[in-house]
Amino acid sequence: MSDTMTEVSDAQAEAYLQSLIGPIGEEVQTLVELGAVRRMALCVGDHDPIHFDEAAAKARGYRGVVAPWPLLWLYFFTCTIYEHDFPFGKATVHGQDDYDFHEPMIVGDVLTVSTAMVDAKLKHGKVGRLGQVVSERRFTNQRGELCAVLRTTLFRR
Amino acid sequence: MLNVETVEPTRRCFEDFYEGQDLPVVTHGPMMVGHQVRWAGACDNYESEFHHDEYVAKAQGLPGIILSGPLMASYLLTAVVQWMGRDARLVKFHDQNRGSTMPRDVAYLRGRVKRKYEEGGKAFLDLECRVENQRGEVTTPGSAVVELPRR
Repeated sequence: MSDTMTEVSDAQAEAYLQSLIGPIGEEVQTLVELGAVRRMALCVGDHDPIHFDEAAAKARGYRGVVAPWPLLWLYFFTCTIYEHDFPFGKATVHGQDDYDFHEPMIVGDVLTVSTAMVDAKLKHGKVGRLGQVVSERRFTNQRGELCAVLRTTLFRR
Repeated sequence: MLNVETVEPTRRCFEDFYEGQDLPVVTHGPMMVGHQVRWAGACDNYESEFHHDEYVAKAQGLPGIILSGPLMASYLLTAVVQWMGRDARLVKFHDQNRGSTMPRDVAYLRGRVKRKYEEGGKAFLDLECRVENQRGEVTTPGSAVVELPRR
């Protein structure tokens, strides 16, 4: 093989992966916007009135219009660094996601989004060398309440 | 402002579910590039051209356009929310991007109650869920933990 995989030793690949551990980028603050909530709710087919109507949301005990949880992906893509310049392998695959949900995200909230790499390891499998990295994004509202944690696993092969 | 026909979800309680219960199948599709484009708009993310441009996808060695894994997972997460009803609280969700969904595939979202239990005075269900295509291939296996009200 003549791709970059052969040019980077396992030790170098391992060292690169370990260098990723820790915070990624700065914390970012972002407003939960009504239009964004509506677009995502319609996109995923969630027609619960709490995503569209403030009165309906308040009648159900919420502070205001509630964001559907898939809206986390808007903030994932617009507020965080999610690509890495791996010095080995040819392709990066989005393997899996783990979500923990806490306080609802409400229109008008200002979220603080922080990102960290929490795990990175090198594996050897049937298809050869495989890098596995797990990044964690934490979403906290302006009241200091944790809304959600999203852990994303990427594979590099 | 855009007029949306909303649907008030049904209220369901812990007592309405039992272990081994199959949940109603939710069907999406046939999936179209438009679904992916709408997702890209909702995420304000248009970077991965192979998600919406067949020429680029094939040039990258893919069989064609591949719909986003998080889109399919978000359909599945939404199905969980809808299965559980208006007063349920989604606690955890997990998904794997195991297979591809391409334009004109049909996505069947299936779920089952794996475990029903109480903990700390609260009532929970563990669910198994998945997205299958029209060939019966599981493209997105998942799981969820949901807290439910008692009757």
